Amino acid sequence: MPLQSHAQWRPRVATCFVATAVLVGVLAGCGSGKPGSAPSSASPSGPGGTVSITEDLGGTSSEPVTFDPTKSHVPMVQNPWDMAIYSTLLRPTPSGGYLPELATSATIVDPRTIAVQLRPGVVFSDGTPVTALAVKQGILRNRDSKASAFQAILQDVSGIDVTGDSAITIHLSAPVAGAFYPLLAGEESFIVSPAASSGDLNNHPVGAGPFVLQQYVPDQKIVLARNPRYWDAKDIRISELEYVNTAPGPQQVNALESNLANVSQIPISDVPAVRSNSAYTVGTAAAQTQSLWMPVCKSTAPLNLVPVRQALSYAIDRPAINAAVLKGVGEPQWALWPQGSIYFPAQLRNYYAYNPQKAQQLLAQAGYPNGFPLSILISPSPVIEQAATIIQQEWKAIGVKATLVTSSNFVNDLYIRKVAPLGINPEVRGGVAVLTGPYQPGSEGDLCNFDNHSLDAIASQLSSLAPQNPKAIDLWRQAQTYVVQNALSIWLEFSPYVFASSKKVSGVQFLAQYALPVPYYWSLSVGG
Amino acid sequence: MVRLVLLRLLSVVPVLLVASSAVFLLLALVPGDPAVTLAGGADATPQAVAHVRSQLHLNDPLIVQYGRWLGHAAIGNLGNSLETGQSVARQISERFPVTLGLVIAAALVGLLVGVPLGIASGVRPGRTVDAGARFFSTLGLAVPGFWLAIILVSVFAVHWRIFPSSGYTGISTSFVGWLKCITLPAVTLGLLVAATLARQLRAAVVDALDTPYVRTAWAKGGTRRSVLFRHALKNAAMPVVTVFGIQLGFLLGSAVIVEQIFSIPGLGSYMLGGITAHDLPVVQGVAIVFVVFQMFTSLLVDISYTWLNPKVRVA
Repeated sequence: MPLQSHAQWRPRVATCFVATAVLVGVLAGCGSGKPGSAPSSASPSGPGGTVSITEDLGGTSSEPVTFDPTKSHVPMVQNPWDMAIYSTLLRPTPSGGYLPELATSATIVDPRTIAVQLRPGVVFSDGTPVTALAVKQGILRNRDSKASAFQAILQDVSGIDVTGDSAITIHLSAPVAGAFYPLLAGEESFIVSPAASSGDLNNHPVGAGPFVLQQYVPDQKIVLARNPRYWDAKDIRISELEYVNTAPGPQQVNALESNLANVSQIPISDVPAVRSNSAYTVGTAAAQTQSLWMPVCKSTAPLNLVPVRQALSYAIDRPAINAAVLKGVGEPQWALWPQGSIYFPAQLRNYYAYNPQKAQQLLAQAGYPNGFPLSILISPSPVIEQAATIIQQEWKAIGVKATLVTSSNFVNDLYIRKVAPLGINPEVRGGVAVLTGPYQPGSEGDLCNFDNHSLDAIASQLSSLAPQNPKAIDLWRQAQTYVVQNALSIWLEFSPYVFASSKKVSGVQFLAQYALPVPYYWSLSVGG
Repeated sequence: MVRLVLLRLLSVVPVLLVASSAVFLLLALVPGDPAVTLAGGADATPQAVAHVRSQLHLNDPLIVQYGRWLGHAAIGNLGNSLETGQSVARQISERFPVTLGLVIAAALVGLLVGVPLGIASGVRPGRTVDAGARFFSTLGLAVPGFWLAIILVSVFAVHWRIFPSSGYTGISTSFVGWLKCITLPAVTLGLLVAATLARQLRAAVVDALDTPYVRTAWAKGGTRRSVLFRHALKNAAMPVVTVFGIQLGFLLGSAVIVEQIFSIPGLGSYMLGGITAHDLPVVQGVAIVFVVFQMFTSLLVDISYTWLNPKVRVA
């Protein structure tokens, strides 16, 4: 039976609603207060200002934060902040080259020896000098930790000689000086101050990089302050660098638009929306090592036939995939290295330009005029699923009936269980591993154990040469010509890191050769 | 009462055994090999993969692996994360308060919105307030949490900038900071609870107000407050409390997604990372915490019955 006098209940019910509304109001009042005002974190703070960058600090997609290079388990994921604190012997550049940094030069003396000349007068943030002995101890500390974050080739360091106050010679147990060279710009050459190495590095890291750790709130933020003792401090134009915990995905755009951060990597799907907002600048970091490509098992029919693989390559419209899936920010991939690379052979540009007629001819020549069925393994990512759907349609036009098989564990299912003869792989590889990973026995990534002695020999020579050596450039071009002409894999797109930044921040560039994009600290400025 | 609590605590043991073995076996059935990931993915050598497998005892039969885990868990050692090497128990102890805070805040939102709405709706069935409340509860049940989160962020974080779009501040660091960070996630989770509670409470109040004892209370000259709160609502609360207990467990589960959306470093995001990385000890450890939490809330519900209904106490 309903209560009879409804009017008398109304004040109490109203009181409940008012109380709730007041509580919500109080909660809201605990925000920044003035609607439209920005949280303080991303505001400029004094000369130089603060650059706030979103990063997944929660370890959901990578690993928990550590400031001791030897405590990292996953390669390159600690680089964004550790590189700021420790710097490296050579400074990587956004274009993929190297500049002098803590070292003024590094020379491959022979395939087993690298001579490094250190910059004189450099000090750690605690004021102690960066001596040749300190660098030796730092590299050996990293090697001896056997941390899985470091590349295995670090274990090939057989000894380091101190040849002067500012000179060391690195000796390698194998002729891999060329492959080792990029490590001089990687986490393997994060040098910890010897005075601090026995202390609590995770809370008090001491390096010789452009920033020092000011505050770390686990799973929330990392605040780095400019290191006044840094040798090139004049080129660091911001006073603070802040990493704000943000999960990857649309949250990155929200963080940017809510002013929680002023620089953020953004999902490709959000590129058109962010581009249309005049408050932000959208940029890309051309990743030489991040591409969508299809590893192919070449040991079973029909993919063991070169014309079949060539046909599949010709039947893909790469510019269309770039426009539809990567919103035009990608680069159609014609070889192992992108077109801007010194290693790219010009004659391979547009080598497999979309040509379904030629694809059908090649299939007929291989004995498959009506095509054949096959499975493509894909991981559950929107970019890969969209690219796969387009490829499925394009291959259908030449008679190849592709079935998409989604895997939540791509590496295991493709390379070990061999669930499908090919898959779409979002690859991150660098250096000689671009060649040895997929085409040389010895790693799981060599699908169906492909082996070719010519390529093995080229890889071996590349391992002993400096990256910029003309002979290395020639070898890379030879290798790619062979790999592409024989369609050892099917390449789709180079997929860059895409980031957006507030107009207040200028000079935003990222180093894309690492697993997580690392800001190029030397070009950042606020309000300039 | 003590007997009830002891019996319920004892019943936790077999449930934990069943739950832990089920989680263990289900994860073992999931395709994927953490050793491959840990050894470097596609770049790993078969030797490195074999080494990792041997190091982590992944070659042992499942029953042996489970027995080893159980033995350690019995003394509070939930093992170390396969991916990071960190103690799972320690990580859980650091992250559980974060999730608990979110769950409590969401439950408060659910109670503060759902209970008044349910009462207002129940005391005037068929009227405008009732229609409005039912519309809200239907909407609340129909709207997916992740969608609501996106809308809340768009309005309150991006457009008005009242709350942060993501991130977390510990309650011990700054209560106001915590409140700022927890409000949108708590509202996201709490509105669904509110909708459920409002529906349950409305039906229970309508039923209770139609009972002879309420009529008797009116006849005895009871005031509106005493009739509703002392007689009708106390009885109407029984099914609502049951539903609320279940909803607390639901909140913990839903926190997995909401923590990810708002970058909150709680158990949910930890669990999600563990699942992604096939990190068995992490998933297993968090799952056990979820089970214990659900059983604890069930126990609280049972205890509350004895307060709400004397017949339960006698039984």
